[in-house]
Amino acid sequence: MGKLNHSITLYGFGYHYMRGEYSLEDVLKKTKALGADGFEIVAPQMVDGHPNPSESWMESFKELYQKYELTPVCYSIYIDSGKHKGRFLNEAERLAGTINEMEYAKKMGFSVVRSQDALLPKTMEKLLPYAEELDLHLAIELHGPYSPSTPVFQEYAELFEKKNSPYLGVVMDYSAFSSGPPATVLDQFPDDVCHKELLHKIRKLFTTTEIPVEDLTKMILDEGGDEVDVLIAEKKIYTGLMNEKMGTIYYRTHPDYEGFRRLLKWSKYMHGKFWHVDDDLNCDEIDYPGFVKIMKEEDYQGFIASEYEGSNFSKKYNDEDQLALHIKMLDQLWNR
Amino acid sequence: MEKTLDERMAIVKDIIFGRADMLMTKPLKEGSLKNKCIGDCCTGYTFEIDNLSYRGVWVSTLEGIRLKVDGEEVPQENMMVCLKGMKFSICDLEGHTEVFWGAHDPCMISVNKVGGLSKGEHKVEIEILKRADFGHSYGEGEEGYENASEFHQPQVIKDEGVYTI
Repeated sequence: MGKLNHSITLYGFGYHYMRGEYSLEDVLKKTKALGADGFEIVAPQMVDGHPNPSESWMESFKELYQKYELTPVCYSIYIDSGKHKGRFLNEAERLAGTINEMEYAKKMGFSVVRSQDALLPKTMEKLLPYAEELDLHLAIELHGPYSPSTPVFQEYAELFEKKNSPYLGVVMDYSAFSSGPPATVLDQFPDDVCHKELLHKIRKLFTTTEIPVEDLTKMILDEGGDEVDVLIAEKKIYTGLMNEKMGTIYYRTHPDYEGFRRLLKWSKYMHGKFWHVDDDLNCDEIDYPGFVKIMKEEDYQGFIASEYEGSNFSKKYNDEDQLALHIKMLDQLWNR
Repeated sequence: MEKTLDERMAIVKDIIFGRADMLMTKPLKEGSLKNKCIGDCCTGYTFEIDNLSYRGVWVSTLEGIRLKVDGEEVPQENMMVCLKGMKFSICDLEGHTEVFWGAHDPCMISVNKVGGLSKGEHKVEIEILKRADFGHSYGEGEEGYENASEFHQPQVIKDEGVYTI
């Protein structure tokens, strides 16, 4: 078994980049320093001149990533259905927009183009000849709260089966496989307004058992908690901050391991989303040991991007420290 | 616990329900308020706004800009959005689906007002109504769009500050 191919999505540095605190060179340099082999760029975030960057900008961008000996892996694009008030994009717009972005991705040296589910399977099928011609893997991101069993992803899976092509596939984001909120979810509340120890116990039980939430709430009240703790549990533990479906019964103790395994066949890149890794390399909210085991069993050859979004829950942690811990955790699990 | 139940509940509710979505940057750019002067003439004032997302956005997703300066509402027709060498009336933004406001592209609001603003401090309040650039509803053209709730209600992005001319 070879080494695990690490990527970092530059999006992870987006906060500082958007504020003008980090330049594109800064974030590439940090990506290299953290030990990544490759990187992902979110085109409408960091590609100057998007959606039609200039030849000179692309040349200088290539020089930059070559300077840091980084492999450009994933070029992330969108289906911006909000562009026209009152309607979605039509197929001609989705096709033209995606082909345009694929051409630029190719020019800049990327091998994977990540789009979104709103591209639609029938449109993706029409893009296959372009992906073949450009030698690009065109992939749809599977992001929480969706899962492999969500109808549109079943349709995508049917397309992958039908075409059986290395040029079409999926970028699985681990948010689609989370079991609950991270350990840091309670950081936003001062210590003297709730019973934190008790709430952490409830969080652990929520993530690792199938005890109904009504019983967990009763446990809060039986063990010295009060309605403040119940409110926190209802709004921050039983449901997610980022989307209402995270942490539902479905995801709690049964993330879709088999769906993950099935889709791995069509995967060359994935988003190792996480919200917190502790110093002992544990990530409470996502079963990384279970999923990395599947990647090894299926001989996954692609890249995994470390993607930290923990600042949505807590500002106490340094994003680069967290990325370093995530990479270390993945390597430990991969080399086990 | 020293705090009463009511006190604790108020703090927790404020944290859970009271905080607006965090933007990466403050929409009103510090230090950017200036009068529009041509020699001795002054036709109004300008200020910059920062990008409204974690990425660049389409200007057509801007559904409205409401501006108050020193408590007085600025008429829509007195404002222009200046971006990438182009100038758009607020009411025309929706139609410019070809214009992308990149993450680091400076964007200026130009307000027509004879004489500009007086020297000294001015309170600027802005409300920007913005539709999402993307979502997870999908369909073909108008088909199914009525269910795409993420595009129906624009986000109201508010900011205010006191700036000196």
